[in-house]
Amino acid sequence: MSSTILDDVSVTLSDEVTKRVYISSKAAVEWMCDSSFSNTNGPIDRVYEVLVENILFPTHEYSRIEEFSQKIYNLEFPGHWVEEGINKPNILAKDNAVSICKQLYTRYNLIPSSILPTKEEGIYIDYDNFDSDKSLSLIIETYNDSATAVVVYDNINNNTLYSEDINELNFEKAVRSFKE
Amino acid sequence: MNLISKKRFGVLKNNVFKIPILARLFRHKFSPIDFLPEEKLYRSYFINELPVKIEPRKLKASFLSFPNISCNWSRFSKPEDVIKRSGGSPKAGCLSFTVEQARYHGKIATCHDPNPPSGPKNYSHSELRQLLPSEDQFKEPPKDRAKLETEKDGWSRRVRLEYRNYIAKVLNIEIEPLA
Repeated sequence: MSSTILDDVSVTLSDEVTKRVYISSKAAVEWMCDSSFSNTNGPIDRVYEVLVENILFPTHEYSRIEEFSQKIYNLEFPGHWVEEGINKPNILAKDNAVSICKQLYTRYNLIPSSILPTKEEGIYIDYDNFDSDKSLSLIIETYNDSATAVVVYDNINNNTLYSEDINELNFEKAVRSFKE
Repeated sequence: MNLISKKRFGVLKNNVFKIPILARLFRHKFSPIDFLPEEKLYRSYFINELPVKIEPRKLKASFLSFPNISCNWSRFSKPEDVIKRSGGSPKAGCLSFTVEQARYHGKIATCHDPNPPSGPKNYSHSELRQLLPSEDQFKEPPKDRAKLETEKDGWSRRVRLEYRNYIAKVLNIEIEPLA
């Protein structure tokens, strides 16, 4: 079971293997940071978290990510926006949008309700939470200049519960507010 | 004496321009304070601005952009006017929101901008203009001001998204667009 990590990631890994991959990834990153890589790639914890996410991510879930990517890279842009001088989402906004969808899916199991181009020049993504008596929306826009903003909105009481200008695509607080 | 005359003239003028046909006749330009909170603002939209394959197909914040959102003021316009106007599309739909909703806790001024030189003749034409934190929502900010999108202007990206999302959530559909 443990020998197939790189050959076939769809195989379910035991806890022991998961732990070992975690430890070896961390060790590898620490080694890279100590040597010629220095610490320019950000906190070690984040780097090995990304490594583990990528190593342990089952294949069937990749198809879901692939679905998001296809949608983002093939978004239709309203013709009259072009006439109004609105720029289409650029590659930076698209790449960021894919990273956001991937992150929110892998970490929080969130699937977007809609992905659209935005008239503010970038990509719009939203998620719905209809748990219990609530109706909340998590709305994210990532723009052509790489800025990203998030809003958590209460659809019943019509008010904004949380909003943030996002740095380094960290949605922890926003998701907490959305899932509460 | 002169002061009293001016005051009387002001009262007279305000009463005269409460009658829409006279206001239109004299091409009177109203100030932001003249917009009543419950009055509506109409705006056109198109079917391709709605998300596909999602039911119900509702407009999202993505269809709205700043600055200077153009609208028709309900005091001088009906929903169908946004479709029938010169340069309008028969396939367009019409949505509305109230002046109170548009003002968004005093962050936006509703400005009457009759017959703008850049567009077709339209007496009801109005604009939603962003305000700086120091500005009064009942005084008109400059037209064609550059986009406000920084924290120091009170309009960071998250605030802009908050506002656009709020409008998308509270708006009413007056006329559905055609495919």
